[in-house]
Amino acid sequence: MGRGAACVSLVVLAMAVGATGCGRSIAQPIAFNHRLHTYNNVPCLVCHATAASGQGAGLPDVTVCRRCHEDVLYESPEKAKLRLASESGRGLRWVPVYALRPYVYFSHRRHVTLGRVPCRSCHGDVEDQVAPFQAAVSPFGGRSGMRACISCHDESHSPYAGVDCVNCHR
Amino acid sequence: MPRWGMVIDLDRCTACGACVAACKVENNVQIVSPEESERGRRMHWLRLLAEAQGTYPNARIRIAPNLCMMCDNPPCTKVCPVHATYLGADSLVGQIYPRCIGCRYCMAACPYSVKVFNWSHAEPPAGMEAIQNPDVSMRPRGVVEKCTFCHHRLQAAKENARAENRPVREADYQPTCIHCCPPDAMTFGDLDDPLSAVSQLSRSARATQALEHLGTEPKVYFLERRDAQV
Amino acid sequence: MTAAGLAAAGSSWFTNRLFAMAQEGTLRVPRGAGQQRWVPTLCRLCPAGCGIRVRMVDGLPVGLEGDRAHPVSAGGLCPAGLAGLQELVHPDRLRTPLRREGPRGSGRWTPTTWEHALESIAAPLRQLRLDGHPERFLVLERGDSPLTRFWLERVMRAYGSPNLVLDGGHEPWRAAWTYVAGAAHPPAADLVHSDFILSFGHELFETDGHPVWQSKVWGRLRAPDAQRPAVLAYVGPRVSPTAARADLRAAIPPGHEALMALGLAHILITENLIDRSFLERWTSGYHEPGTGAGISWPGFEGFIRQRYAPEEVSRRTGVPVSEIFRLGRAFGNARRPIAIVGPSPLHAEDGLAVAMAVVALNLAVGSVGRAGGYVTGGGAPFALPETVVADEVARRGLASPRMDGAGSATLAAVAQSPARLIANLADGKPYPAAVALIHGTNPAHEWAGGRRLGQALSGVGTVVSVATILDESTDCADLVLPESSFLESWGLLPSPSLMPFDYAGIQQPAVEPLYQSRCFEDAWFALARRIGGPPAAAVPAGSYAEWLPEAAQGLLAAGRGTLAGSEFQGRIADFMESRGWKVAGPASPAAFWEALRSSGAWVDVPRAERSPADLLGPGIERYRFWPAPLLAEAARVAGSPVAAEAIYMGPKAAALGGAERDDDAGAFPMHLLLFDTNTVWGGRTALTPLMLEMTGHREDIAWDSWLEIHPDTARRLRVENGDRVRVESAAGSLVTRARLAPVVPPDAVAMLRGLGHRRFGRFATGIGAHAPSLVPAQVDVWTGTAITTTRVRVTPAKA
Repeated sequence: MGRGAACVSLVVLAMAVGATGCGRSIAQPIAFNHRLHTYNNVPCLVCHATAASGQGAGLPDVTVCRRCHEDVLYESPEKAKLRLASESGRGLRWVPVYALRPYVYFSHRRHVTLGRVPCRSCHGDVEDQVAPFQAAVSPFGGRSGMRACISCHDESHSPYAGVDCVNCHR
Repeated sequence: MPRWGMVIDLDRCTACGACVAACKVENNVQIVSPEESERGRRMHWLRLLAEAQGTYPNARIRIAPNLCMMCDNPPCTKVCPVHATYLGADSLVGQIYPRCIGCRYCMAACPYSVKVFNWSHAEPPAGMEAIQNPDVSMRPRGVVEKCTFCHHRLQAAKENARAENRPVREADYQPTCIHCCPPDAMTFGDLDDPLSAVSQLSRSARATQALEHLGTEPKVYFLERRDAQV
Repeated sequence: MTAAGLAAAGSSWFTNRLFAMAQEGTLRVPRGAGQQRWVPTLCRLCPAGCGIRVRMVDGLPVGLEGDRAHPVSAGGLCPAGLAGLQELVHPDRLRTPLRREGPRGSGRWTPTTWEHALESIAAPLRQLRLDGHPERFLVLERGDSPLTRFWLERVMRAYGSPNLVLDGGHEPWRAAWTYVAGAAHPPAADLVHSDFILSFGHELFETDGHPVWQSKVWGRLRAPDAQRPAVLAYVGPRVSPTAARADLRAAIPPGHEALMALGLAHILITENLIDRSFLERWTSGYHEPGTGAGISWPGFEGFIRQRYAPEEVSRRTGVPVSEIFRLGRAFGNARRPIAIVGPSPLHAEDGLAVAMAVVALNLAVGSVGRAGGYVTGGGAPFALPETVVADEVARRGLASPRMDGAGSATLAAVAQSPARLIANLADGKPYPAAVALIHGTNPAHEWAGGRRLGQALSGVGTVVSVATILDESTDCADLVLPESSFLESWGLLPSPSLMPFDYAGIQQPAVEPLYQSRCFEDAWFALARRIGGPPAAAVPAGSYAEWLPEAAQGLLAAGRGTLAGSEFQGRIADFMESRGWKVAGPASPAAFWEALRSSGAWVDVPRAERSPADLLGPGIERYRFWPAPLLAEAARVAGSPVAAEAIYMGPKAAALGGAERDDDAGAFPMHLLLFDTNTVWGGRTALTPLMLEMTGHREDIAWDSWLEIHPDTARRLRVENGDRVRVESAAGSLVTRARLAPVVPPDAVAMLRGLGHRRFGRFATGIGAHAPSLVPAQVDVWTGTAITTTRVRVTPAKA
């Protein structure tokens, strides 16, 4: 496809795609039910252990799941998958749902611990979801993730929530 | 806000090149192939410029580091059409890769020739993807890059300082070239802090700036070599 | 995700493509939680062993920098060290032991197991002992690591072979001090307290000695607030980076260092700048002539006065008389001057004369046994096992002469003579080798005449190479054992003897070995155990890493020194100890080891007053200008009486009565000067792409070697900057690019060592030209050192 034709079709597609959100279908190793866990008062930080201290929030290793799911309260296909992942030594290969572009640098520690931003502010109603995401999303859904970041930073009165480009793009 | 600056003591500098190597490693600067190097497309954010004057045996060889001067009146930011390079709030001249359109006006405008261009895709040499610094992105083809005074380290320093509820101190933040210089020829810190080593040295009798007359107000100072008293 | 998979996703093709472009266009750097940890360890790419910290993020090594807390390097690091991670993950690193398939040198290997490889080496070694010829086991090693060397010597002693040949030393300098002072090791230069450093071709800031430490010292000596900054003077033909940084320079022709040193001594004498009281009290042979060992010598003072007047020196070196005076006076008037000499002049003809002349110059100003001068070299009081007792078989083997002729074909004080080895091996003299093991060095590439190593080894039944990557020397081997990277290994490094204080640095792995490699010491222990008998009894039962804490106990038991910490803590400890307080440190051995691991180093700076007696060996009471044992040895090696002056002038010049040697400038009119850069370090660190790119970064040259040539000479040859030139000598030829610069005299050219690899990983192979090819294999008769100077012819190379 020639360059010119590609540009035109890209523009057309951009307009079409703009409203529909993104989609890259994702299959997680376990059909994780967030609501079940939040309903049982499991804090976010138990599984997303480095959200308070690190850049990324992290995804739980199979040993984290086993802390609670060691004994079989009741069997389910998902529990079987968990046991298999643990015993085979393969572990859980979660597929990251939030794929920040490689040139975007986000620190969970800054927002969670220093900025005291609640998880819900960015991740919305993940805690009410009963099934994993079917598709990759940006943390806010919709078009440009950066606009959501900037709007929140603009509204915040904190001197630490700057909008200097270099803070996030290196 | 501190005004970050650097003083390079040419009397102590031995031209060993540790700063050059450290910068490339820390910032994931591309290693350019032999063919591309031959075309003059080498990429160094910091390089040693050598100049020889006179004839053997009395040739005077001067070698000095050349890096982004972090000007307070930067010529490069004035010509960027997309605000990809700009003077930031923390006194550093930023270079934002996703914004850069690769027009290279800033490279032409910089009188110190410290901006380099990604003529090709950044591919780490075979097997070396895993050792890239995760704090600095790998740049795509077609963007300009330059020394950032290791801005990612400033970000980490700010985060740690905030966690401890105190301002960023000089000891928290040092670009990698300062850190590894064997003869300690490079000093870094807040030029506006009258007690800092860098501000005192920048006001010493031996201190000069490069191409001062252009009015770029560089924040990198050089201390001239001393003559031996013999 | 492939493009096809993405396309199948349907209507969101555009956004998928964006993600794909983000993945393709901007490479994803692994990003996880960002959990960071620093591992303090040592760089082992050169003998200095600078302290480094490896930055581990989410379990991956992603950064490497100097360790600020390290007592010697204090955060400094050279370019090669900074590229250390690239060596760890080099794609061509050896992963398993290899067995040769096809003839030696064919480059065909099959993987094998450690068991099989070790057995293949141990079996012939066992047989050698049974046959009563253990001396036919040759080990060729660089000798950078004293503890490794300890274990090599120990097993070789138990086994019964004297043939541990180390190629990393500088024998002329060591021999000179041995004869002058009776010292076992050369002394250390206490540069930090000096105010005038006179370098005879010593590249302080590049690759000689401990460049990072020397640079740290320089930084302190030239601090902006230093009232009287120290002065650096450089004597040598080439304007190296060190010379460019020097305050004073004397540009002599190649091979005239001894002459200039003695010329400066003349100035010291006539201007009364000598240290009279030192000379009276601590030296012999300065004033009066004497005889000994059937040779008579003049008084040193008379000898200098007679032959080394500034006019004469100026005539022969081309340095103006006024500059010689200026340099001599400046040196003599300094309060704490010191003269140092680099490996290059020591590897020229008459290297011993250079060493003796520089030692004599230091004696003349009394810079021996005092702060700022030569002092006792450092070490570390490790707890080492007792010397092994050799059994009958081993004793007979150890009594044999060495294969490299050190001590027998050379002066007795010379311990290593690798330059003779290739010729001796080829001739099977003094006896043939049956098993050869090469580690830590690449003689086939680095040595002059190294290309003939393969042929010389053709008579050797089993050749083993222990290396991290296939190189020119592994080509000569039957078996290759993969050596771990320094970032995967444990070690303890004592102070190099050239440092004026005691210190021990700890090397600890940043990552588990990526492949089936082992550190050399573990491979050596395993081999010794397989051989069985006394060699097996000589090594510890466990691994090297398990033994190291035992060695470190010696540091705790010594009851002195401190663990590295912040400079502030160090000063407090110093302050208290100097007032008689004992600073409380870790009490138990286990606690000490843990503390050593986290701090990275142990250091003890001597506080006792220095004395010239410190450097004198047992039974020696004065520094001798005319050491009788040296004169006797010189005569023995020469096979005929030798004039005493020969030890300062070289045998040929002495024979000609001090007249000039007539240099044969016929077919090869230019002197060739070889130099090293701190990027490729003579070849060793040419492995990494960063160093290959940065090889000539100061000269705007990348991925290539170059020949430095005087602009007038180039013009005469019709060569322009960047042109390819052919360089030919009696030994070989090469083509490289010309770099015109006023850094060499018109009748000399200079080229760096280290490139021109034929096999050294995918990045280095075929890059640049191989300078040692130009140097014929020449051995200095007295010291057994390889002479690396030669003459060449330069012509433009068309296409």
